[in-house]
Amino acid sequence: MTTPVWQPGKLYPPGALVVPRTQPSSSQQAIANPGFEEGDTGWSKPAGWTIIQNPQAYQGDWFARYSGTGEGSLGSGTEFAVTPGQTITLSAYYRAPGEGDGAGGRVLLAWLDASKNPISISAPAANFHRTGHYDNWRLSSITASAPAAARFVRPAFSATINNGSFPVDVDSFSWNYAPPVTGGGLQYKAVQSAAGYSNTSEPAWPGVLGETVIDNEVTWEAVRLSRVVWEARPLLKSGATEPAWPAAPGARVADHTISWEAVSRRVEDPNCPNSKVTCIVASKVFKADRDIVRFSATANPLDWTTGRDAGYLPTGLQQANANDMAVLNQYRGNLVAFNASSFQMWQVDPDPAAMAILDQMDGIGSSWQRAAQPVGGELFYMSQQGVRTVGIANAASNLAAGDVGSAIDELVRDAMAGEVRPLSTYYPGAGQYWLAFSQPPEPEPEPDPITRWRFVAAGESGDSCPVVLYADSASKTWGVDAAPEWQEGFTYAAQYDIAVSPSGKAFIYAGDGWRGADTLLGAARINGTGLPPTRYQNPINLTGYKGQDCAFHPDGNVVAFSFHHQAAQGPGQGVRAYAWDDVTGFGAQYPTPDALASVYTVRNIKFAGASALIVQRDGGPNAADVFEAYRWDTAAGFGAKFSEDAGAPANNSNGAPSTAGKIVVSPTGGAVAIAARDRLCYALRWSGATGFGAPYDPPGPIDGVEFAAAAFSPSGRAIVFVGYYGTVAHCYRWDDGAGFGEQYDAPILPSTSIGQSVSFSPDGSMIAFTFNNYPYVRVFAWDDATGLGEEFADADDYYFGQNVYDTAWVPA
Amino acid sequence: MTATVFVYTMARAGQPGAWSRYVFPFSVDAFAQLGDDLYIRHGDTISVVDAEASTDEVGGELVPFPGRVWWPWLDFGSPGVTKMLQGFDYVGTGQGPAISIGYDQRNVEALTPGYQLPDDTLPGGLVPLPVMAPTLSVRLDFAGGQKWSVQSVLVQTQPMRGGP
Repeated sequence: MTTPVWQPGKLYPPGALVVPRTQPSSSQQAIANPGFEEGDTGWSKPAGWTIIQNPQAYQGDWFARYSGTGEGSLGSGTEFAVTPGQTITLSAYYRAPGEGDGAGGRVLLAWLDASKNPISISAPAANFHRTGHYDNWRLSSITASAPAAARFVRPAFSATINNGSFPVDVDSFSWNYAPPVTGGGLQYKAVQSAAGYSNTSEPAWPGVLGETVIDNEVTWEAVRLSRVVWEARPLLKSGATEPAWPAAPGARVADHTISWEAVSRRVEDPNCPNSKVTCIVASKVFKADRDIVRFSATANPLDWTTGRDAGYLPTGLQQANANDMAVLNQYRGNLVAFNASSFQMWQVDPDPAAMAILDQMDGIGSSWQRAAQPVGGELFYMSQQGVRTVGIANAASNLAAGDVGSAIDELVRDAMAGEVRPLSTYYPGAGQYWLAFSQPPEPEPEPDPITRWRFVAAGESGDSCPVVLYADSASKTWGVDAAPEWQEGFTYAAQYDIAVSPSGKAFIYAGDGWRGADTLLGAARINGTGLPPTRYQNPINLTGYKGQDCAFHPDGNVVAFSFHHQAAQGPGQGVRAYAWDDVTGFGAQYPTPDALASVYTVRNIKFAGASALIVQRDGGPNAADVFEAYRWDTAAGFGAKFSEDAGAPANNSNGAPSTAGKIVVSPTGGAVAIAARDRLCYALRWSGATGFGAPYDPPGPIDGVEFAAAAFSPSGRAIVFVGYYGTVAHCYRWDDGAGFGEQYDAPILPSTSIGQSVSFSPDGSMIAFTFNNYPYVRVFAWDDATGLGEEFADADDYYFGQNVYDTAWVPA
Repeated sequence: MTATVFVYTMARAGQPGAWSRYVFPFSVDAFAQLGDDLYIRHGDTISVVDAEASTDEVGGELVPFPGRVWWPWLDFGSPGVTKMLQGFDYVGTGQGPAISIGYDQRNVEALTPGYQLPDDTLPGGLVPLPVMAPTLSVRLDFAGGQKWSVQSVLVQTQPMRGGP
């Protein structure tokens, strides 16, 4: 029964027990200021005593000095709780240099009752010690037990000066006092003579066994009832984190207080064949091991070696063929072993000496361990002919005779075709033998290779562009998939750059804004084959701007545009980035960095992976362009700029702003290439962590050739430049590590037009070039191994009329 | 992935048992028995064999599965002699089948159109169904969704001696 908690204003008869609501205060253990180093504190000093600072102290710089007459006692300012019989040893160092027996001192234990009234004193037997000289500090010590009525003790020192003028000094008190157990475990018993009411507030419960406290009409005495408290604690406890488990058997890893050892789940006995052809009979495990059958020790499947217990059956000696044992099972308590062409039956026993062959027959065999099943008193198994039983097959000496499975032989043989592995069970609840043949799934047919891809062309003739084109590698033709169909009120204008979303559902373009505010940029849905694109609502209405470049974020949820701003209107925003959704189109605009908002022209803009954006901006009048890279976070937008001295390419040697070329990033994200008219084939290393790296070595001198645009093949193993004038293509092998490789053997086709763009189909099987004059678009087959292939025929002879500036292919 | 399962059900002592063939729309990866129940694991799913079930659970819906009992082409007398099937009787329980008679053992598709039967035609006369062939095969098709069993099919034939 639980002891009740003390209640206010309650009637308690003598002998009532309570536990306090609040725990009693714990007892002090140490003597306060025992060496007087804290100064004049913690001690009760009668007349004649002072606490002084003097280097002659026994320890430290302070000690107590008695300069009075007769006896004077220095006592601790604190009384310490004791229990009757408790033994205490008190010590202190003193010196009494008086002459003769005129001065001395000794330590005292002053015992006090519950009301802290003196009961008695314990002191050394000799009550007068004299050290005789100031240099002689002596130890005074007393060991005594608390008398029966003692509840407190006070440590003290008594000094006596009977004659002379020399003082008595004391320093460095110490004792072995241990406070009585307080707090937990104490209960309080009413010891008054008659029943009385407790007070309205809880008394100050004594923390010492035997002490009492008055609580209105009740007197409580601290008592202890025998109680044993058991605490459970873990001997082994794992750590807060999972250890790195070792993989080698026998290796150990520490895990807090546990040491784990890796053990193998296999039977490690070298004589265990670990084959799946297994049978348990006669308290042993039998396993086929090529043409013999090994067995374990009796009732110990981990032991396959102990002589006269584990061993093997020489089944290979009992047959006239070289097949391995394939089926083990039991038949009427005996072990049956099949291979593909013979049958054996062995008497088995826990004692290997009692094992013997009972029957053997060639021409009856099985190779399907999991099809064999004891059924009633028979053993069903599967042969090449179908399901058979041991009893009938043995009696008939062949497999062709009528047996239980003969009726379904043809069906079973059909089901066995292929790589099926039969699985059987005996279902006693229904008296049934189940034999299952699971057919492997039909292999997925190889999808037909895509031969027709679509791409979007942007150009100067607003009446003709953007237009969705197609190219078909099967027919080696290209043509118009869908001409534009712009809503009423939308103004046609030139488009300088175009980009298709990663989903292939939309494209954006940067256009010539002079024809109207809604021609600066735009976006349209790529509808189904043959269906014209339909535009999204434009996000801005600006005049005086001219679009330059546009790009989709690789995740398809951000679009970015760059602009040329007419000088007459002063600097404006050179870059705009918007959230994007294929269904709803443009979303909120991201804040543009100040450095990009105050420039006249940002020619190119491309995402380099998901977390960087590269721009080529105008460096100012008659100054070189500047290539910069900014960190990008789709949640926050533009981030910090990559280091400017990290190898960003300079501009044309003549200092004029480059008007040609596009930034392209290799598919693996390790390189950036720019086709600059006077820089020829220019490429440099790129890292998403550090930005621009060192330039690659150029592929070699190409006299008199200027370049307009570049593209990496989707595999990243080739890079193709389109000539600015006079040539169509210059094709090089590529590797992000080594840069330019050998030039392909394909001819550099002559051209009388100015090249504008080059792009690969998503599968890398086609490549499209655009020009400023007829033929405005040329499509070729492409192979990373051999380079430029056959040119495709123009099926529709679509009239572009003017420059076709850019193309972008629609992903699959 | 499918599994073809042959089930041999034992009959009374001294009597031959009977084979059934089931086609499951899953692979049978393991059998296990607990008490009197048989469990089948297929992929991450475990099914229990229930003799009372007459439907499959496919995608959470109960779908009846058809049943078929098909005898081989039997001589019904002297081999090679054309017989005249005059009629038959069917005795079973539960759902009645549609009966078809195969008349060309070279072509398993050569059967008479199915004729729906009640669960027992024994009371009254034979069910007339004239078919002539050297060998005949009886096929019973059950629509499923209900329990059924076949006790016997009695056929009456007349040998056409002297014929081809």
